[in-house]
Amino acid sequence: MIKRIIKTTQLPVFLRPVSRHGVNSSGGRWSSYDHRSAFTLVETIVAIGVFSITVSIALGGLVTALRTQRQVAAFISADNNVSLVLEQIAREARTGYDFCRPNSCPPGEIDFVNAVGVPVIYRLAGGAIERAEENLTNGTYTFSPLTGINVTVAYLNFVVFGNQPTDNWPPRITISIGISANSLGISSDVTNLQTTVSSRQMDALAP
Amino acid sequence: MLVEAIIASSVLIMGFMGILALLSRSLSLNRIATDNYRGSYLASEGIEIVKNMLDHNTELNIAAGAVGTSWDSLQGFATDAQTYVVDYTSTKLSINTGKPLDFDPTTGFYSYANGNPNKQSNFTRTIKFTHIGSYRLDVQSIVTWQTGVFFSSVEADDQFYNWWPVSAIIPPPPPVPP
Repeated sequence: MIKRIIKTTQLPVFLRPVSRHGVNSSGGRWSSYDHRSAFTLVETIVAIGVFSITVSIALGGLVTALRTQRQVAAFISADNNVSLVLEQIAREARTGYDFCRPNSCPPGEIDFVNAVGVPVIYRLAGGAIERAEENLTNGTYTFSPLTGINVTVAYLNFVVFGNQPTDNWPPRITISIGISANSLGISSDVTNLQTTVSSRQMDALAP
Repeated sequence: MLVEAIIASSVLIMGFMGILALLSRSLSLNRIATDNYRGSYLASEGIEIVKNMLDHNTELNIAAGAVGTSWDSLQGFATDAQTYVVDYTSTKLSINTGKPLDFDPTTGFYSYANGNPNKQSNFTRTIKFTHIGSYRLDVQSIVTWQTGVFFSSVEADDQFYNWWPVSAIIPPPPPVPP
């Protein structure tokens, strides 16, 4: 039934049914292809070669796709981590006062008094952002890292404007931070983020 | 036979080209995500700088003990029809000319500072105002950028009030003794 529906002449030569009586299925004379009963060595080698190349390219693409997926996941994780830290700094600075006073802040560091009257310091150390509160009994600071081990902070800069008590400007703190995700292949890609926070503490009203 | 092989190869090649195109697309999406983070922070920065300028007016009035500066004057500019720009060093608004922010690779700061080592970034920030009555100001900070062939923008919007009338905190001057 199937043979009647499918015209065997439309099939590739090597798929056409072969007659035992010296006449091929399409009724014609034997061609040179009709004599073979299997693939030749050259055909097999070529087929294997094409298959190998194809599989190699496919595997290469798959490996690249997996690596890209890992890198994107690492980047998103690192960015979320740093966003949380930036949010913490911004929230505490927004209600803080006495920024970098009476002494100016060293590079990569900011100090101020937070809303509950406790001096705090944020700084960059060892590729991580650290925070410390002053121990009000002995005046010491104990730093704790805020960023995770999946993030490297390449740089952290603060610019403070309007932090003098008589300049009639609320303190304006600009934060510049460069981050990279600790993942193979993208650890050298630095993302530059910048944001600014304006303290809600008025000069004349600060404690 | 040759035609069949060519067709089969073409189908395979087209399939792999599609896969490679998807891979390059995922890499560009990574860059798009990065720029989205940058743009969002720059937009919120614009809002905070305007808030800083508004609070400066309040501080001036507190120091003077009288309303010498309108709470929403923004150092002379307060029209709704114009668009403006600010950066983290600004003490007043500047008219928007469409200039992108510059980036300083040595410090990582975005500003409008010209010249070496600043390089033009692909972020453009625009500030708009809408007065709502006399005690409310709507501020929009719009950051636009281009990543490859894709144009993106993010808009931060906030409303500020004349939250601290000077008459409420400055006591009247003591009576002059006779």
